[in-house]
Formats: sequence, C-alpha cells, structure tokens
Amino acid sequence: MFKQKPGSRKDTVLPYLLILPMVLIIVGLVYYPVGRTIMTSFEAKDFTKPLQTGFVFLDNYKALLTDSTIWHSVTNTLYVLVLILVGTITLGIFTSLVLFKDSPIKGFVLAITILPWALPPIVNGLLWRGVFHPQFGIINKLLLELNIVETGIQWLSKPFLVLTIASLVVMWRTVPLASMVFLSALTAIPSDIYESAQMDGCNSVSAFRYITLPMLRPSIAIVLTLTSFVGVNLFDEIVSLTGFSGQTRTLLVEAYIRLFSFLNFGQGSAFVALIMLASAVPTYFYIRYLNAQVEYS
Amino acid sequence: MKKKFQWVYILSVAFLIIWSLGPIAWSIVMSVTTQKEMFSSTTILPQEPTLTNYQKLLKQDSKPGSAFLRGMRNSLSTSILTIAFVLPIAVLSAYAFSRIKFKGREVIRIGLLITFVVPALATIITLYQMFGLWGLLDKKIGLIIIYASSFFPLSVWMLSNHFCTLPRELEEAAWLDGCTRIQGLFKVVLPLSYPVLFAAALTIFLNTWNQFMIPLIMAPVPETKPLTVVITEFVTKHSTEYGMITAGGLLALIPPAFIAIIFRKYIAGGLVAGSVKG
Amino acid sequence: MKKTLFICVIAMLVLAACTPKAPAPTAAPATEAAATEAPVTETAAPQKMDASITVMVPPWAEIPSELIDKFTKETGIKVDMQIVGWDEIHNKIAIAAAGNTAAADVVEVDWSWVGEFASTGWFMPLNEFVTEDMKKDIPLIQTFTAGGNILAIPYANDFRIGTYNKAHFDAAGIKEPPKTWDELVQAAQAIKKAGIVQYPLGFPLSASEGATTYFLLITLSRSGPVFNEDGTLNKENVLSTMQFIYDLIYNQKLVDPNCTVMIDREIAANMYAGNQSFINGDPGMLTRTNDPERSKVVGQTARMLVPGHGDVRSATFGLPEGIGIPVNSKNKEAAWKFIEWFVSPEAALAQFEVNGSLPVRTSIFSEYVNEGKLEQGDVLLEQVGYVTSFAPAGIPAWYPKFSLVVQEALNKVATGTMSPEAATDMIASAVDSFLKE
Repeated sequence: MFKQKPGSRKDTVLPYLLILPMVLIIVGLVYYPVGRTIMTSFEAKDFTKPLQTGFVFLDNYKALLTDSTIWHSVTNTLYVLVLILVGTITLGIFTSLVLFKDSPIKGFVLAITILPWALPPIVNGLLWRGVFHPQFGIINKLLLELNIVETGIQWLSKPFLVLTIASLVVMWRTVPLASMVFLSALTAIPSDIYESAQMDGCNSVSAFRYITLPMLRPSIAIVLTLTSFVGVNLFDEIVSLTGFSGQTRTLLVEAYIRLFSFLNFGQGSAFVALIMLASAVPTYFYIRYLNAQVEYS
Repeated sequence: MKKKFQWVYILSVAFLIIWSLGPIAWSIVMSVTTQKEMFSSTTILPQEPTLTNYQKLLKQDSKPGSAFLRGMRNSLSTSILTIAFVLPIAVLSAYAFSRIKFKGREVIRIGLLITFVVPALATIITLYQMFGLWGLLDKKIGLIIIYASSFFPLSVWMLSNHFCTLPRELEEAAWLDGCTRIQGLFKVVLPLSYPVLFAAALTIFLNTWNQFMIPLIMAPVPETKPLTVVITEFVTKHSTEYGMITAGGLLALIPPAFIAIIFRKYIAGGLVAGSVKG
Repeated sequence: MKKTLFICVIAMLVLAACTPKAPAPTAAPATEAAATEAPVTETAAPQKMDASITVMVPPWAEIPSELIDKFTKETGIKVDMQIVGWDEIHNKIAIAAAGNTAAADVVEVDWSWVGEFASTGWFMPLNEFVTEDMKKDIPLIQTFTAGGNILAIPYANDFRIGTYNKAHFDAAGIKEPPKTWDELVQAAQAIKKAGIVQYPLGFPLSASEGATTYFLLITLSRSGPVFNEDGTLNKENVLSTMQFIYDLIYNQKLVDPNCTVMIDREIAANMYAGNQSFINGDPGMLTRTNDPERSKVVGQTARMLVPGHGDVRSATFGLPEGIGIPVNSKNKEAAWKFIEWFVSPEAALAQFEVNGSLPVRTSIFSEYVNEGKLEQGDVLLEQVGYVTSFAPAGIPAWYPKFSLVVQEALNKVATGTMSPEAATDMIASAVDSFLKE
C-alpha cells in the first residue's frame, strides 16, 4: 500500500491515513460531545422544570454571570491555581537542585521524591484528610504531644485553610513530575558554562540567577502548562477533603453541582463551556509560542 | 564553606524525605490502626497495631478482598491495554505531524492539542448516551477509547517534539536504500525513540491508573471497576473505614510506584525532549 | 424452558378453545380484569417470564446472590445486580434520562430525591401495581408519593432515634433517659461536670448532607415545624436551633468544636469510642455500639426516643430508601415483579440480616419485635409512631439546593463566622427565592 517512494504523489494521502485513527477518535469522542454540550448551553434544560424547554440562546450565560454565588468558585480556583503554580515551580526547582547534586544517596532520594506522583488524586485527598483530621490526624497529634496547642485545631473548618491545604495536597503530587522535568533540563546544561562563569568570578547564587534559571525557562513553561490544567480541573481533592461545601467549591465542583445536584443541564453546560473557553484561549497562544520554539520541518 | 554546604544538603534531603514520605508514613500507621482505636487513642502510634486490614484486602474469598483484587487486576489490564491502544496511533500521528508537510497540518495539530483543556464534565453526558447506544457501557474497551481521546494530545505532543529533534539525514539515507516512509519510521525513527516511547507509555499508565470519575460513571461494574473506585467504596453509609482506605491506597501505590521508580529517567526526558530548540 | 413452553401451549389451547364459544360482550371484561390483575397478584401457577433486568442499588442494599438465583428460578427473570455508590446512582439516573434511556430497569430512589423526580417525570408511577393491602402494610409508600403518583416502593426503613450511653448517664446520677431537649442538656452538663466525657453531645456540623438532616431533626423535635403553612421558612424555630447549637459549642461547651469538620459517620465513631454520651442516629446504631470490632462501649448503650419539648414527647422523620422503575425501562413488568419480591418477607429478612435494614412492612416489623429480633423493639415501635415529615406537603423539588444552603449556614454558625440571625435570614431568603421560581 505504501510501496511508493517518499516524496512521490502518494505522500499527499499518506499523512491523512496516518492521522486518521486519531482524528476519528478525537472528533467522535471529544469534539462531538463538546459540541453537544455547547448546544445544550443555549437551551433551557432544567430537568426539574420539564415544561420550560427550548432554545434560549445566551440566557443561561446571563443567569450564570449575574449569579453572585459562582464568583466564589472563580476566586477559589484562581487562589488555588496561583498557590499550586508558585509552589510547584519553586519546590520543583529546589528538589531538582538537590537531586542534581552528586551524592551516594542520590538514587535513593530520587526514588522517594517520585513516590507521591503514583498516588491517584482521589486516594490522595482521602489520605490527606487523615493527616489533617481534627482527632486522629498526625498534625494535631504532634501539636498536642509537643504541647504546642492545648486542644486540636480544626484545619478544615475555614475556607481559606481548606483551599491552602488542598493546594498543598495537589502540589504534593505535581512536584515529582516538575522536579523530573527540571532535573533533566539541568542535566542538559553543559558544565563548561559553569566553569567559565566560575573563572569570571561568579558565585553560586549569581550562577543560578544568570545561567541556571534562563536555561530552565523552557521547562518552566512546560511545568506551568501541565500544572495549570491540574489546578483548573481541581475536583477530586476538594471533594474528598470537604465535600461540596459552598465556600470551598472550585469551578469544576460548582459545575458538577449545577449539573448533577440541581439537574440544570442548561446552566451546567454553559458553566462548563465558560471554563473551557477561559482555559482554551491561553492554551492556544501557548501552543503558538511553543511552535515558535520548536522548528517543524 | 564546604562543611556549611554539606549541612544545607543534609537538611534539604531531610526536608524532601519528610515532605514526600510523611503522609505515606502516616497512612501506614493509619492502615494498621483499628477503627476502634482511631477515635479513642490519644497516643501517636496505635497500642494494638494489626494487619487485619491488609489481610481482608488480600484474601480472595472475603468480600472486600475479592473486590479489591479484582479492582487491582482491572486497573492493571486497563492501563496496559490503553498503552497498547494509544501508543501506536499516537506514533503514526506524531510522525505525520513532524515529518510530512500536508494541507491543514497546523490546524489539525492545534485542534488536537487544544482538546487538552476539555474537562471530563464537558463530554461525559454525551459519551454516556453514545456508549449506551453502541453497547459500550460497562466495557473495558469503552473506557480505553475514552482514555485514548484524552491522552492523545499529550502523547502526540511528546512524540512529535522528539521526532523533530532527530536528524532527517538518517531517514533520508534509509529511503535511498529503498525503504518506504513507514519502513523508515520503524527501522530508523523508532529505534532512536525508546526513551520518549517509554515516557509516553508511563504517563499513559499513570493517568489511566488514576482515573476515577470516568469509570465511575461509564463502567462501575465488578468486571471493569478500577481500584480507585473500589477504594472509595470503603466509605459506606455508616462508617468511613480509614484503615481500609489507607491500606488499599498503599497497596494501590505499589505497581505505579514500582514502574515509575524503575523508568524514572525516561519520564522527564520525554517531556523535555522537544522543549529545547531541536 | 420446557415448562414455559408447556404453559404457553396450554394457554394457547385454552384460548383457542374459549374464543369461538365465548360471546364477545363477556370476553372483553374478562380480559380487562385479567390485565389489571395480572401484574398485581401471583397467578396460581406462577407464570415464568423470559426476561432479564438490571437493578441498580447502593452497596447497603446488596443481598446474597443465592437469593437472587432463587428469584430467577421462580420467575424466570434474570437479574443483573449493579452495585453503585449512592451519589453516582443519582448522576447516572440524570445522565441516562437526559439521553432518553434508563440507568437500569430497577433503580434506587432515596427519599430526598422524590421531590426532584416528581417534577422531572423520570420514574413511572406505580399506582396501577400497588394493591391496597400493600399500601396499608407499607405506610412509608406515602413518602414516595408525589402529586398522587407512587414513584418508588420503599425497601429499607430508616428514621432517627436516640442512642445514649447508659453507663455515662448512670455515673452522672441520671437514672431515666431524658424526655426533652432541656433535660438532655442538663444531663449532658452533669456528665461533663462529673468529668466522664468532655463533650457529651455530638452533631454533624460540617457542610454535608448529614448536617442538614440532623438540623431539621433538632428543629422538628425541639421547636416544631421547619416550614410555615404557606411554605416559607419558620424563622422562629430555625433561629432557635441555630442559637441552641451556637450556645452548646461556645457557651456550654457540650459539643466538640471538631464537629464542624466531621461528617455524621465520624460523629457516630465518637459514640462507639466512648467519647460521647448521646447521638440521634439510625435504628442500626445500637447494633454497631455493641459490635466489639468497632466499639469500646459494648453493652453500655441503649435506645431512647428523640427528645421532645413541652407536651411534645418526641418527633422524628423517616429517611427511607426505595426502588422505582424509570419510564424508559423496557422491562417494566419484570421490574415490578422484582420490586414486589424485593419487599417480600424473604428478601426483607436478608436485608435485615445482611445489611441491618429494618423492614418497611408493618407486619414484618411487628413480627420481628415480637420475636425479639430487634433489641428494645418496643422503643423502636414507639419512635415509629412519632414519624412525621419536615415538609408536610412532600419533599420539594428544590430540596438539594435547600440542603446546600442549610449546610453552609449551619457550618458558618458553628465555626463562629456568621451569627445565628444572619444564618436564619440566609436560609429564609433562599427558601423565598425557591418558592418564587
């Protein structure tokens, strides 16, 4: 079938054949369902009001944007996103620097730092609930044992604390991947750059500032993207830490409630559509940026 | 100066160990604590540690045991089958994107990558209906093609970035020897891509292993239910079995941790490959 | 299979023999009668159906597969039991109905979903199947009736009843279980004073469904109706509950502040651990406090009525679970056969023995009490007599939204971030907006 020599006329068909299975699956299982969701977002579809149906165009969007309760989820998600991004980048770089240093226990430390990555998010949330539990959580037990506090602290009672802890929990499983990415970027930096910098009288701090960081820039971009998606899609951890509490809902939790608790598929779909739009625009530009970085033949 | 640096290193390593292992260590403690002691004990370590939770989970003929072991088998087989399904298709697409110029390439490529931002909530309702019609609900194959649709962007991106870094001359030499493009791909490109293939396979494995909402809605029957779903079922109407949850979570950690640790150096390599100008 | 064929052949022969002879006018009523009767009563020779159905219920409704096999043998109906988490069942019902399919032929319906499902019309009214006898024997069918339509048949009886630690009460010199909330608080003060436990009372106060039901229960039994007759919130009673809870946490310190982050199951665990002296829980609570595997207070606890107020001896409400048939099911008749069997004495006994669910049939319930199967069955029976509903007009369609608002308001009061007055206003205005919709 592909007997033709490269560069011949058949090459106009070949690429399409190669991508066909992928395109079929993506169109069928992503684009078509997303299209349906967007269509639904223009309809009145609250199942508890079966008589009011039909095309309402932007009414669901208007209802959402004027609903003051959704802004909670927006600010919550933004807060979590910023914490996760900053935390993952700094802790990731820190970890990779520690792992980069030659030492006899290097392999052992590497194996340990990679562990949290392998834990499913839903189990992760349940596990950390055990850490911060007011009664049998290790944090309270240690604080009580060391006489730092007299009675246990309700770590998961304040929205601000819950969101901070949730970010910590997410960071715990995003840092390993980040540090792996940074580590391989560090390994790729030619060591003679450092040597010549040292000859020029550069100390280790400024070497980091002027050599390491700039060299890490592309990998920081990768970690930022991967982590942003984790942040925007935060769901499992929040739910297993505090359930569907109104004050700690993130975007996806809020959308989930509108869809499945309130059975308002119209508004729920509109909300999901807004979330996708908000993350697709920066992603589009990011892909364009990456394209400029990588040269395609 | 040297000594001070040594101390900084030791402290950093200590911090990393506590940070990474602390919660896991605590869940080991919880997993050997009885439900009774969990709420009554005031000491840090349990007075009567017990392995009953593990025994229950690993005993084939007990109710939680058979569910758990079945979940373990389901998670493993689904993960491996997903790799087998996604990787070949991703390789073909990535090759087309990185090596062949064709009309609409950029549009299709961006169209693929942008689906990265689609959350499961946006597709699951329609997918449920479609799969209901096609008889794919409660089937592993149904889960696998959904996973495929959500893993393609990352895998294709990793692979095509890597293919771009390979010198074209090697392939061209193969063509001169009479190879077709497809033969060139298998004989020249793929042998040079093992690290990236490993990395892609591993991310697919871990991502499949971690799935929760999709199998919960699309296939929550014993024949397909993954570990993640089985473990959350230890939260019952009348009690949250923390001991069982943590014991189950720790056992569920073993296969992916094992694989991640063995293949660690490939994972990051694959992600970084294309990020630096090739 | 052979037997089915045999019955079919006989039936055809009979029909063939009858039709020509029977005059048309009499034949019509006869078949009509047969049509209405057929699904309701078992015919003398149980007719076998060649059908297979799917049944979707939560883990606590799973019954031994031998029993299911027996059902299949008797009726010819093959059953595929799908055990799915409770929340997920709700999601699957919605997703399936949105696509005009059925999640399963027989599906769990919780009491709290009735209002919603009454307005969505996703479940088939079962009125034509339900006999008067059945209605009489299963009074909880009322809970699953909306607008005259019976949407589901209850299979698990659940209501709130008090459980107290007798040893704690005795040690504090209290001989009789308290009858009112005021007496309960006094008893709790005595227990705390005697240094027996630090926090004798426990309420779920985290933002969770269990917190809403507990809050409604306190209001109903301690003050009275939650809603006014016009459907608006009874602000006086709700405010009283909010103030009561605030007072117990911050002034009297009888409730553990940790309750603000714990769900009902964890509050119950404190009861088993002996950290707590009283809880309003499900009827199975006593079995668990007496289970040596999880409890440190085996033999110390006893049932009591949910405390009342003034002349009101007690009040409680039911939280039963039922099963219904989605309108999109293609095997409705077989599905009904299964439901009928699922609430039969045989299946009810399995539910009771395996899952600890109390029977919904009054006849079976009193039989168990008489046989001594239920500990302190007399108290259980008495409590059942006080079962009312917090929403006399039926569970409203907006209950899920209402529940989320109550949880949030309650949690804010309990953590001291909102005043009881403001919290009450928050709930009241939410209810007003639901009513307006």
